[in-house]
Amino acid sequence: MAAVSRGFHGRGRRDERLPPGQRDIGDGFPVLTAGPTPHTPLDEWDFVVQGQVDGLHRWTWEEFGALPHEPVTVDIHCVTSWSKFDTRWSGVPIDTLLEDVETAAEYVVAFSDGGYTTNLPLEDLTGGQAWVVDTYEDEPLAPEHGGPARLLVPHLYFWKSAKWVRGLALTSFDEPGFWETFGYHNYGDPWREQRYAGD
Amino acid sequence: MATTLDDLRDLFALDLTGAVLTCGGCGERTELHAHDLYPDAPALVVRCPSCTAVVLRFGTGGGRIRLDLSGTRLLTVTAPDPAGS
Repeated sequence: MAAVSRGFHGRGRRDERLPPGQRDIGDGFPVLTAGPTPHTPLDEWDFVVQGQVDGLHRWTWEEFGALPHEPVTVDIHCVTSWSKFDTRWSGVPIDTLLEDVETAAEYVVAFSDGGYTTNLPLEDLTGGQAWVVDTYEDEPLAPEHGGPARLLVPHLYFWKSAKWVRGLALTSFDEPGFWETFGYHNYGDPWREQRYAGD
Repeated sequence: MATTLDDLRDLFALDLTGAVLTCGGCGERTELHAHDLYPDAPALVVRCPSCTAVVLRFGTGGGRIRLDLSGTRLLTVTAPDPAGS
């Protein structure tokens, strides 16, 4: 009986971290890609904050690397229904990248090499909720997982964490991105199971 | 005889793998099966083999079937019964 009780407790603790409709992928880390993997040379890479801002804010790879990084350990949730617990990253908080940016914008389009885009409310990128990460499990972020750098917004479905991210366009209007224009939910909260428009 | 929306069922009843798509980006004409396919994304993404632009997205999920052809300028399929056209 005791063993059965421990089993139930163990499963209960794990399930508390699983949003509805998700399963624990364990050690796996599936690669989902909608196009060829870009391989932008680092001396051509930059990250920009543009749009409804006071001028262009731009960092080269070297300048980005010199910004204060912080470790992040989070659970991630893919809309295809896998979740992965305790993923370890290192990156620059979006708060840092927006520190000197004056804007009245309420929305952001993250854009990437290869043409991928995703849209988010600006308030979901600030307040310690999002990063541009360049390290995964103590190693430089691999190209198949979005390296050299990707967005990390763990409280939303993982398609919002744009791979190969190159910048943020701040706007006063909400502009649906690659999956959002294909019937996926505009916001994508895994805890409310917002997979598709209308969910 | 006028073409009506009901005639769309003739298109969607066909095997489209031999259909020819004209890319909305570069204008290249390519058979559907010869495109670059990315089936591991949340939905099937079909890209032009010439310019890599997305020409078609197709997905099933949430109880719905979705088809996006906004990247295709023209879809051409041989009619099953040319004499009847």
